[in-house]
Amino acid sequence: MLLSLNSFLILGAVLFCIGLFGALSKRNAVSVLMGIEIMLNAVNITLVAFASSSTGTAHGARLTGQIFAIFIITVAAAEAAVALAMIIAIYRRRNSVDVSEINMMKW
Amino acid sequence: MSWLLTILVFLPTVGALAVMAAPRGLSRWLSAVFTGVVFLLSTWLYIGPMLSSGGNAAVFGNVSHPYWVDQAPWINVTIGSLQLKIDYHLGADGLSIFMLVLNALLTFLAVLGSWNIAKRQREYMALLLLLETGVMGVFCAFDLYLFWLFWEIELIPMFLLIAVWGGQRREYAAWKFVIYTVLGSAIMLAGILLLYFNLGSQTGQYNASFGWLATHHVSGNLTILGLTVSSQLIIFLLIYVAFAIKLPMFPFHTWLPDAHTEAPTAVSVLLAGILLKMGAYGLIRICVDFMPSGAHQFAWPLAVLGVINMVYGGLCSLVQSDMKKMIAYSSVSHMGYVILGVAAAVGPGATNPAFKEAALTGAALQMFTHGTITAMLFFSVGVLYDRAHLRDINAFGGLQAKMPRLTWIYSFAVLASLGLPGLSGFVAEYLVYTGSFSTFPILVAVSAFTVIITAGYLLWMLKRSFFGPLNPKWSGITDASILEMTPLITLAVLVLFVGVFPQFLINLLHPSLSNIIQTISGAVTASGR
Amino acid sequence: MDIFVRDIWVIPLLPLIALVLNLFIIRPLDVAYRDRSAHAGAAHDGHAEHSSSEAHYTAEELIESSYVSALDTIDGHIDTPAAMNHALQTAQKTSGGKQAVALMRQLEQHPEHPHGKPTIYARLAGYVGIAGMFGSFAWAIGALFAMFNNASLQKGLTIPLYNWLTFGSISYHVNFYVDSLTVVMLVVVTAVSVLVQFYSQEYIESEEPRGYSRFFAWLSLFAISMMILTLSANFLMIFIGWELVGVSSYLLIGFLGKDAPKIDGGRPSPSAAALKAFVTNRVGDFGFLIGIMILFAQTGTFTFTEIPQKLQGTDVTLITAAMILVFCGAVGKSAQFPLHVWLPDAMEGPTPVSALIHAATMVAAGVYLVARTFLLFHAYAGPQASMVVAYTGGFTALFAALIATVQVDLKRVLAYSTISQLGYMFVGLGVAGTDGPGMFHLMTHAFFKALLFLGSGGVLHALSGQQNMRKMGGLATKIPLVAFPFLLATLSISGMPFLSGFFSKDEIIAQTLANGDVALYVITVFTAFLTAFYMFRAWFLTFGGKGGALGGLWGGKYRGEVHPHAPGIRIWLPLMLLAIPTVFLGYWGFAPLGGNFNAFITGNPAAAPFGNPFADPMTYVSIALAFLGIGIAWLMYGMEVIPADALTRNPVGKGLHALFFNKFYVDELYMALIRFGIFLFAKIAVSIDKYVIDGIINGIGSGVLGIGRGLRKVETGRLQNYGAAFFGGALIIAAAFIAVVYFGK
Repeated sequence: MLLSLNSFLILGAVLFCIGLFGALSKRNAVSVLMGIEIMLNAVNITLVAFASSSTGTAHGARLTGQIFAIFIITVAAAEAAVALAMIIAIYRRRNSVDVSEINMMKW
Repeated sequence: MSWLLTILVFLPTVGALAVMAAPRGLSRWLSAVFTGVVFLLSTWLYIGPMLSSGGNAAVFGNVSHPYWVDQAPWINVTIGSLQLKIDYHLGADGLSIFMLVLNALLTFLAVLGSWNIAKRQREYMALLLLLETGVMGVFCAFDLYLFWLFWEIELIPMFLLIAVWGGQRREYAAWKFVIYTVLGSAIMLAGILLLYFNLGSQTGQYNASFGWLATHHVSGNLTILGLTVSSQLIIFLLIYVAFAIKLPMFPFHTWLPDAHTEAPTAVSVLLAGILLKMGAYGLIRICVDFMPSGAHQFAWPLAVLGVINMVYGGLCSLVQSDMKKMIAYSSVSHMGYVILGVAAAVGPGATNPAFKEAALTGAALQMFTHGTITAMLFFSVGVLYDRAHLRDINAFGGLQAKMPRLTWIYSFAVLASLGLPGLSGFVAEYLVYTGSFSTFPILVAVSAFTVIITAGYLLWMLKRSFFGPLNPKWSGITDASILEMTPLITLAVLVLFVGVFPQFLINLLHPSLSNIIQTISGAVTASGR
Repeated sequence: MDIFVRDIWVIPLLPLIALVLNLFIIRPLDVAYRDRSAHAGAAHDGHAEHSSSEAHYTAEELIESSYVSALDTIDGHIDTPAAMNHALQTAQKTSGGKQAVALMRQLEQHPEHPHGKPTIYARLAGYVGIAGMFGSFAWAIGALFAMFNNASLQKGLTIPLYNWLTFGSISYHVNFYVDSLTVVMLVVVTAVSVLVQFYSQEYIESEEPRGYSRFFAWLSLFAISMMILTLSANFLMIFIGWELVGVSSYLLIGFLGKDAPKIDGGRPSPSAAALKAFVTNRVGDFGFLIGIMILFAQTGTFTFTEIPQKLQGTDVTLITAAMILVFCGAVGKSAQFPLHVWLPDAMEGPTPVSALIHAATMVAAGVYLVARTFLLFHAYAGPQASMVVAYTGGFTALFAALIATVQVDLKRVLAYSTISQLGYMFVGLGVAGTDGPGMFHLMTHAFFKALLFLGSGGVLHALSGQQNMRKMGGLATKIPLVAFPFLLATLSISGMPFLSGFFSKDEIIAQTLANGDVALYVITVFTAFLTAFYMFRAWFLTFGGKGGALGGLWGGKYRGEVHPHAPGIRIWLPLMLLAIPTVFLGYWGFAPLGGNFNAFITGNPAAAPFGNPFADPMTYVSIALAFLGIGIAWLMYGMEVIPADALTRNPVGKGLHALFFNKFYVDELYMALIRFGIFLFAKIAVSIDKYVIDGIINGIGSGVLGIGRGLRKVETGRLQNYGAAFFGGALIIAAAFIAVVYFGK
């Protein structure tokens, strides 16, 4: 059974919503980070799905989405490294990784 | 092309840089030298043409053909059909020369008057010099955009001077001043742009030079928010808002008492003596001359507001207990004469343009008069404040016994301010009254009430603080020093001279003003009103 | 001879030179010299440490400190100016002023009374002023005789000085104009001025030696101003002179401004009086200015000689209104009801000033103004204008005379008498066909009233400043050189036949009848009776009294405490000189002896002279009434046959007395008007500023700040909230987009 493009898009959307829910509702910073990773991967699925279902004939037309996905994986890795470093730094300062307590960024 | 105007405008900036670069102890000497040189140069604006023409004042020319011109192309951009042409165009006819010299003189005296300022003297002097540049630029810019630029430049030093060197509520006063003024300039810029592009599309030539604007007037109507108004009126009002705030005209005047009261002495002097005149100058030079029929349509409200200024300012002065605040409100009252005179010049009726010219001449002279006399009043109060650290009228009493010199000169200033004949205030008031009467008889009759109020509050203040028995609290107070008396005496001589022989100033103004009167009557007859 | 008229500008020039010399050379020398000698004096008196410790004191303080040293001898505790003030203030508070007065009196009579003497330079200032004035006087006399010789000059001559500006048909000229009216006024002004200045030398020397040179400067300034006013060719110039005399008057009334408000009798302080004078005059000027503006707007000229012809065809009502407004100025300057209130208070100035400015010359400027514009009042304006002039004058004459009958302050009696006599002049100008009678009375009055004031100054001088007539009496025998000319002037003002006051006043009274105005006739005749009464009341209270010679006319019982000291020649000589015109000037208007003032003043040789008073039966009525007034005063205050309170025992009399004594409560009414009228408006204006305009401005400011303060609560600092807002927003936009795309069609 060949899966239609819509199935991948629905999967991507569902994953994105799960990730979004996790990123917005979890109080643990690591969980928030995991939510963000899920959102990024949801986007990756969507991009790859679009790429593989593309009917373009131009040179490299069917690769664009996949290249984007690889970029996102790279950026996500870097982001995870930076974010984890920040979480550790915050933990050292405040002895907590509860994001609801991290509210220095106001006025 | 003579460069004299350019030198006048930018020499103070050079001075400011020099002051900042030089050692602290030299700053007041340097600024005195620079302002002094600027003053001497500025007198050449008057003397030079008089010598070359053998004393014929017609040589000063008018807005289209000023005697002094400095011009260079500056910005000239064409974007599609839009053409933006801003020239570096300085010029000076009689009306400008009059204000330029007054500004140079008052800034010089202000430097002398702040000789012993203790706080950050170097920065203070540098800012005074920068202020001079801005104001000089306003009075001799002959390009509308350049005018606006200088109008803005002058704001910054003034803001800092009030906010740093002021009295207790200095920050409130400085912000109030700056917000009022910036609001006005923003609206003025809208007016300037509207004028520039409207006129450009009507005539096919985009030009913001004064000579062009004075000879080519916008016509037609504009529709704004569904209302169709003549475009001259709408542009007049937009530009006038800035001048009305500066003048200051009721109900935009409340920044003035605060700013005057909080500013240090010399800055109050400049504020009253020069900055208010920028509004009056703009009203005569730009609003009336470039939008004559707009001004004509607004003449009645303008006259009413002028009379409100006069009477209302006088009444407010009557119950002030702070000397500086009283003088500030008296400024509001006195600037009303300018508004009334201008309103009469552009007003309806009076088939005889001679009356209108008398009124306009009176208004212009009132600028000089108020500038010098109020400067004297502020200098005198400054002398008192330096000693007593008080400005409350009722806290003094009988100072005559201890300060005969100050009493003399202060009484002189008070008498000049209330329009004593033989001193310059009288000339201006008399010209405004007699010139305006045929245009607005009832309004002028009401405004003449000010002569009573003015005498009342000024002499009452004099009586309460200088005459009567000496308040023992002040038995140790010392009289004004020679240094403090210098600016006062200089101004007193000027006030007396102009009061007795006003005709040299009137002759200087005549070519500019008669040109404006012709423009007005041309516009009024064309509009068929 | 004509040069005296053609170069009439010499007259104001001479005092101007004196003023400039005084202000810029002599007075600085005076101050510097005083400074030095005071330093020396202080050191000499063993006050070296005093002057060195307070070395910044100027000359005036040093003199004051020597003043204090005199106090030292009285009260050892008081040794600084502050302490002196303190002592005086506590004395004023604790004992209702009696102790303070005693302290002051004690000070003044102390042998080491430190008022000092004017310096040599101060005296020089006086000489220069007098010399300048005398030159002007001589020139004015020259001009007068030039006009006698050459009648064509009486018609008037314009002397152009310069122009402010000329635009098309209108111009602001600074011009002089001289005709017979001008010259008469100039002679009066210069003659009285020179005598008053001469007199002031001694008077000011004892009153305020430190201000000696300043006083003469102001007198010169006044003289110049008055001459500009007199010589003006147009409304511009006359207004200039008008304001300048006002300010000279202001400066001279406030001359003794350092004095505290007088403790006795509720008199105002000199500076308060000066303020009141100036502001009240400004009220009149308000009308004057509007009147000028109406005429100017109609004609485009200020020039007196041009206005009439250019007014042809103008609405008469408008001219009438303009002239009544111009008359407002005269009402203010000449202290007519309702603007008379300043003149009595102006008596706080030095007495020579009262004589010169507030009796003889400046207050007559209003009369002069009406005479100068007489043609406009009578030929161009409607009859109402002259009616207003005449009835204002008549009412004021009566009103002021009633007040004068009960005053106890010698100078105030004279002040109200001045107001009353000025009223006569306006009656004369209002009813007569020429300005002759009014100007004639102005001229005679100037001399006899100046004499009365200078005489009262002699009394004050003799009594060290006592003005209360209850503390006088019988002075005729003590200071006969003052009393004799004073009596002549009293007789003259009372309308005694053959003296100049009789001729001028009677001509006005006769004119009211000739004009058919019975009401004015009754008023003026009754006022003549009152005048005789109050003037002789003043005479008997001051110089006569029970026990004196001739039934109390000359000398009597002295009621004061201060020992009267005799005046010097500089005081009595001017009195004697003034007595000459007081007696003889009236014959200029006495037709049987060939006097025709009317012809001279109008510049019309054909003008009819004044009627012969002795040929008119009605004259004898006024003479009889004058004698009646003198008689009653004699019985009440001279012989004291009738007790002084005979009329005030009953309640009606008592009420009237209180009404007159308190000047009909006009001052109180005005104070209330100012307090509850003007000041109320002023307070409203300030509240509008504070609460409405600034309320809006500050309201906008705090509104913006408030909104910001509310909105910043949204910024929680929690990234998750921001994320929720971001995605929620995206969701809403997406929903909206879908809604538009799918349902918009």
